[in-house]
This record gives sequence, C-alpha cells and structure tokens, in this order.
Amino acid sequence: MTTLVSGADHPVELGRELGRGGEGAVYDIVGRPGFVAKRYHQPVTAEKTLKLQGMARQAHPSLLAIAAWPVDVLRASPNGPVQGFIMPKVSGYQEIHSLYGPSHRKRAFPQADWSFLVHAARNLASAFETIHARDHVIGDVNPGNVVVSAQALVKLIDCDSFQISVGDRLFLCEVGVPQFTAPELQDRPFRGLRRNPDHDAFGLALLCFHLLFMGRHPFAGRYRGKGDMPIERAIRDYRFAFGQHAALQLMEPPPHTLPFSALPRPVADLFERAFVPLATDQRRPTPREWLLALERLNRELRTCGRNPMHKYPSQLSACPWCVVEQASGAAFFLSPRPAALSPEAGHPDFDLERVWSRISGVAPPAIEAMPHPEAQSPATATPLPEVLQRAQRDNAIKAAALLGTALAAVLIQPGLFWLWPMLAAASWSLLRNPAVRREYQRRRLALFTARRELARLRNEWREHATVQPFLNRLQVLQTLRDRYRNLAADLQRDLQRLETDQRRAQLQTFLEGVFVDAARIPEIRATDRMALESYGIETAADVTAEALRTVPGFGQRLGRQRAAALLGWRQTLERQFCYDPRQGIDPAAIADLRQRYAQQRAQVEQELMAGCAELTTLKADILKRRAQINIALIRQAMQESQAQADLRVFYPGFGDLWRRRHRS
Amino acid sequence: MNELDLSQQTPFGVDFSGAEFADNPEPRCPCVLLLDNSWSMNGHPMTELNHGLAAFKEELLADSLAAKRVEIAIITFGPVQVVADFQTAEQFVPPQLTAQKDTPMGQAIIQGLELLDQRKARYREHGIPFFRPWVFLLTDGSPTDDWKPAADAVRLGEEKRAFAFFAVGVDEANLDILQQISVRRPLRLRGLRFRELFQWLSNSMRSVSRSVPGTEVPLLNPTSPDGWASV
Repeated sequence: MTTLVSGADHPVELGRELGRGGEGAVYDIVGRPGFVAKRYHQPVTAEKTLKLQGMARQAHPSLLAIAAWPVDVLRASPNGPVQGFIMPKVSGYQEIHSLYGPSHRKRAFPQADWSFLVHAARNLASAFETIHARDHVIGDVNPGNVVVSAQALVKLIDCDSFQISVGDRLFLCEVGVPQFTAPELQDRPFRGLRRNPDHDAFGLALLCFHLLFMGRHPFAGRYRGKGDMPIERAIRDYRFAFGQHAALQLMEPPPHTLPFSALPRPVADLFERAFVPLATDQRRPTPREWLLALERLNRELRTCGRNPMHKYPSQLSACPWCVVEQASGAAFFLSPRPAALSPEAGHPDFDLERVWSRISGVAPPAIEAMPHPEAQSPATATPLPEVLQRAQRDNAIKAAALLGTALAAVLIQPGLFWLWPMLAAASWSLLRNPAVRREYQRRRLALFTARRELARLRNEWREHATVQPFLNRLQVLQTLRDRYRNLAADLQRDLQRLETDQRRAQLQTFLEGVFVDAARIPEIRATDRMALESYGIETAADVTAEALRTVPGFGQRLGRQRAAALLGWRQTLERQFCYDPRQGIDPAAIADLRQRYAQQRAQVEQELMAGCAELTTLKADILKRRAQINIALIRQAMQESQAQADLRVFYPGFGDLWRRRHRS
Repeated sequence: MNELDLSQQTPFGVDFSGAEFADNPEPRCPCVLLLDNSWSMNGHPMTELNHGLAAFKEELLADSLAAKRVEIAIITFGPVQVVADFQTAEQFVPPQLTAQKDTPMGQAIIQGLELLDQRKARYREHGIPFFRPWVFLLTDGSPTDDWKPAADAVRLGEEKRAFAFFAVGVDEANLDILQQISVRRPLRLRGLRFRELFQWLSNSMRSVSRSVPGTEVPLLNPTSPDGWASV
C-alpha cells in the first residue's frame, strides 16, 4: 500500500486505483471517502508545484462545490517533491458527451428531455460564473472536462490545468482542444498563452450549443465550397453553420437538426454573439447572461401534445421535435416513463391488511327465501256480465238442442250417420254467440300474461335479491388481493424470463447479422442462393428446417443434403456464438416490464381501496331491490290467482253451477 | 444553363439513413480492415483472426467515446466481399470468417478505398467531422491479381493525407510487394498474435478518436519486444 504525505506532512494512504490517464492516476484515499488523490506519472515542475500549492490555498467552498479543485498537495516524503494532489471526489457524474449525444443519452440519462438539457446548460453557465468570480479562467474547455449528474448538476474536472491567479502571480493553462478553442486563438501555440474569461465564454457557448442541439458542433455543417472544412478552420473563419450569415460563409446546417430559428430570439442572439466576429469593445455573452437567458427559456417551454418528452419554446406554433424526428427517423428522446409509479413501492397510503379488513367488515345481506304467496288468498272469480251469462245459457240450450236433433237424426236415418254430426257442428258455429268465446280468450291471455310476469319477477329476485351478487364481487376482490400479494414474485419471475430471453435475443441478433449469400457453403450453389433469397431466407436466422421445406431445391429428397448443409452451417454459427452477459438486458425492456407491473399494482390498489364502498353499496342495493321485488311478487301472485279464478268460470264444477242457479 | 439534366437520378421519398448521424453526431474515426481469407489462412490462423476481431470490438466498447466514434468496415479478399459496411463499435458484430480461395489483394484495396470515399461523402453531407481514416491490410500471401493500380491509389491517398494505410503480413506473406503497395513500412505479425494486433489497433483508434481531427497521434511501437510485430 502506498502512503504519501500531505502538505502538512500528514500521512495519506492511497486506496483503490479509480482511473488512469495520460497524465496521472487517481486513487481513493483510505479514511477520507469524500476525497481522492491524483498522482502524476512524470515528475512535477517547480512551476506546477507552486500552482498546486496556490490552488490549494485558493480552495474556496464555492469552488469545491462545482469543481475537482486541489485542496492539498501530495509528496512522497516530507520536504520531498510534490507528486500529486488531493481533490474532492466526483462520483455519480458522467462526461457531458453522454448527455448531449442522443444515442448515449437514452441509456445514460433516460429521463432527460430538452428541459433537462437546458437546465444542464444553465448549471454549466453557473459553474463558469463561479470560476470567473474568483478571477480564474478554465482555459481548456472541452467535453472531457465537464461532468453531469442525474439531477443535471455540473462539475468541472481536470482543474490543475486551469489558468489560476494567486495574488499577482498568474499560472497559465497551456493546453487546449482546437475544436473548442476561440477563433482568435486558433493557430496560436497554447504555450505561454494568456487567456481571459472571454475565451472561456466561447467554450461555454459551444457546450451550450451541443446540449441544446443534440450534440451538434455549431461549426460542423455542410460546407458548400470545395474540399473539406475541418472544424478548426471553420472556427477560425467564423463559419457558424447555423447562424443567419451561414449561407454567406458557404455553410449550411446538417440535415435532421433542430432549426436554429426554433430558439427564442434572446437565446439565438447569444449564440450569434458568441460565434461571429465582434468589434474590439464587445465581449461574448458572459456566463451570467447565459444563465439568465437559459433560465427564462426553461420557464417558457411548452410540452408537445403527442410526446410529453418533447419540450419546446412556447413561441413556436408546432413541436419542432416531431418534425425533425419524422423527417430523420431518429428518436431524440426516450418515450416517457412516469417515475412516480414503481412496482415495488405502491401508493404510500395503501396498506393491504387494513384495506382488506375493511372489505371483510362488510357483512353480506341476510339470506332470505323468495316469498311464495300463491296459497295466501283464494281469489273470487269475476263473474261474467249478465249479457254474457245469458248468452252462455242460450249457447248451452242451443248446443243441447243441436245435439238432441243430431242424435235423433242419427237414429232416424242411420245410413247418413256421418252427415248429421257435421251438420250439427256447422249449425253450432252459425248459431252460437261468439261473445262468450271472445271473453274466454281474453281471460286466458290475462292468465298467461300474469304467469309470465310472475316468472320474470321470480327470475329478477334470484338475480338481484339473493346474496349471490355480493358473494361474486367479494370473490373478485379476493382474487385481486391474492394477485396483489404475488405481484413482487411475479415481477421477479418475469424479469428472470427476460434474462433467459436475452440470450435468445442476442443469438438472434448475431444470426441476423450473418448473411447466407456471404457465407461459403460448398454445397450451396449460386442458383440455390437465388432460390433461398426469393423465399426470404437471407440470414442465418432465417435458416430453419421448416422454412427450407418450401424452397425449391431444398424440400425434396434431392435437396436434403443441401438443406442439411445449410442447417449444419447455422448450427456451427450457433456454437460459435458466445453469450455476453455484460451486455445485459435492454434497459428499455426492463423499464417496460416494471412500468407494466407498476400500472397493474396501481390498478389493483385502486380496485381494492374502492372494494369496501363498493360492497356496501351493493348490499344496500340488494336489500332495496329485494323489498321492491317482494312487493311486486305478492301483487303479481294475487293477479295470477285472480286470472286463474276468472278463467275457471268457464269450467264450472257441478256444485259451482248449482250455486250460481241458486243465487239467480 | 439551367437545363434539365436527364442523367441525374433523384432519390425517392424520405431518407432515414441520416438517423445514425442525428442519433450520434460525434466525430467519426473510420477504419477499414482488409482481411485476407485465402485458403492458406485455413485452420488455426483463421480462428485466431476471428477471436482477434471479437476482442477488437470488446476493447473499443470499453471506451465510451471511442465506441461512438470509431467506425469499422471489413472487406475480405479471396474473393473480394464487403463483410461489414461502416458501423460504430456498438453496432459492429464481429463476423466469423472462413478461409476461401485466392488473394485478389489489389481489387480489395481499390474497393476498400471506394467504400471509404463513399463514407466520407456521407460524413460531409451530414456535417459530421471525421479523423484521418485508417486502412489496415492483413495478408498471408502475395496478390493474385494486378496490384499496381491499388499501389498508386494508396500512394496518392497518403500524399493527400486522405487516409493512413498500414500493411501487416502474416506468416509467409510477401513483404516485398507489401512494401511496394504501402508507403509506410509493412510489418510482419509475430506468430499468430492477432489478438495483440487488434488490441493495439483498438488502443490506437481510441487515442486517435480522443485526439483532434487532423493532428498526428503518437502510437505505441508494435515492434517492441512484447509487441505483436517484427520488421
């Protein structure tokens, strides 16, 4: 274990190596978790030693909050040469290029929308302001020196290269990246170069542009002149490819970029001022100007109606992201995933046991038999009106007379015995009074209707007035409760399944990348290839016994060898394939699954929470319906027995007949 | 002047091919691998080469910036075939090469340079800055076709700094002809150290991709005692 000493000769024990660069290596410090040690590979010059000591003296809390600022020097032994320094540890931050490049952002910052990017730019400006406020200059502004957190907080690293002023001493920043160097400094050596905050302002504008324009460099456009236009030359010539004078400079914005005109005027003006030649008394926009303009921009953003990840300046009439994404086929932002829904932690107020005890607290409605009131009141039949009674009597007399006549006729003239009943029937139909028959039909219909209605009511009772609907709902709630208890386990199971699928998916991707026509399979001739191609067998993934069966020259007996060769080829490939567990499961698939479970959970919670009230209403409803139907049932049963009695008038027993005679 | 040019074809509809650049506008560092898969490579050398390619991708992926910047294209010769068009390391799937017939090296070089030119045109069209491309030739024999035009193209390209051409001979390769094709001195692979070769290549590409387009990057000497090459 290496032990160095600090500026005050305290021992500093180096821990795990965290990273290694061209200049030095960075280590944990045992017992000081918030700090790390950087140790240079090469001996440190006297000038650099003074610079580091000066920086350590200048270590103001505001600087430590936003930069990996040296707080102390490190030596191999007391009074030995300085070998490195101690600085705050920056962990959980990622290089800024992983935020501004869309493809990388979707993995590293899946939640980041344009508002997040604007906010990161605002924080970046704030970090620049902090450095400038203490009279230092960053100098070597480039994407490798800026890191961003998941909350869009920005920190600056590699601070030992900054241009530092300590009292009246100035320690220069003698490095730089031409692509991020101001036009007036292009083609000038960095050695001995004295920079000012205005040079930083150029780098700040560049980084802001990268953040706002999906990783595009403002000077990398389509050059309409002859030959290539490297970025350094474009910068030197002020060929801002997006600006209003771009065409004059033979530049054009690259395709599929956010149009520069999408920016509100104040922000666009800042970019123009940062990237065009300025009069000698003018300065590029300062970090403070950027900060204010970006804050205002973020306040005035609108959300696209189609994709909530699309945020754009409110002065625009339509969403520019929809336009660019449609034209390019690229997706700049991931589709939204509400962070509030988590499959593990449900609704904070949801407690299954409490909710369930409330549900089981609702007693089911009492069991009660359906009333059968038929036997209750023997109804008295409605007597037939006088007219009808008389008609009925007349009918009876007529019938008796006809019957008698017919009988006599049969006795007199037995040869025609078949004719007399027919004549009698015909005469009956002419002589009888039809009103009686009509009344009979009416009463029969009334009875049928009454019976049908009674049956309907009984059915209704069985459906709505028993305990059954209540019990059914309770059972549904029980199922929901069980599902809720199993949600976590089910999620685990599905996640595992995703992992097994992952192997298959990787294999599939691998096989899809191997083309049949590029493979050298001795048994497969050029004509076979054409046949395969025309049957849609293009890659190893398409080669299956089933698919080959339909291809001419492969399915038949003669083709067996060829088919076997092809299948063998695929098998060889499958053997060569090696699963890479480090690739991991597509985070989008995991997020999707968790999202589905979170939604399910929320839904189940909602239903269970509503369960108690639902059962109570259901119970009250059943009791109410039961009372209503009971009354209707009794009334209907009476009606039915009435109709029955009414009809029975037409089938009087003999006693009945006598009684009626008696009365009249 | 503005006559309708009938020989000019126009593409139909919307072209989604720019999506890769919209999605990832980082400067590109193209690298063409010209790989010999003539019959003499059959067996162990071929297996080692395939492993080397797989390792190449791994190494590049380990560097998040290089993974977005380095683009790999592979052309095999014996016969000449574009096995993989330009793809970033993330998308690149190491192919499984198998040994085939002869060694049409000249044609392979010409085709590789054409592929490179097309790619550069796409970079320009989409406003993507790029580093000086690398063309990496790997062979174990001598060309079976006319390699003179290829040699001229390589010389011209190197003069215009359009690309850097490296030639590596495996085993019994004819270094004399490689010497005439490549402006830089061809190297001979030590044994079958393909894996080390591709490790070096990815390291070099990584440092190039982290550098500034248009500047020279000091490379590790591959002919050091533990390197993969000998002169």
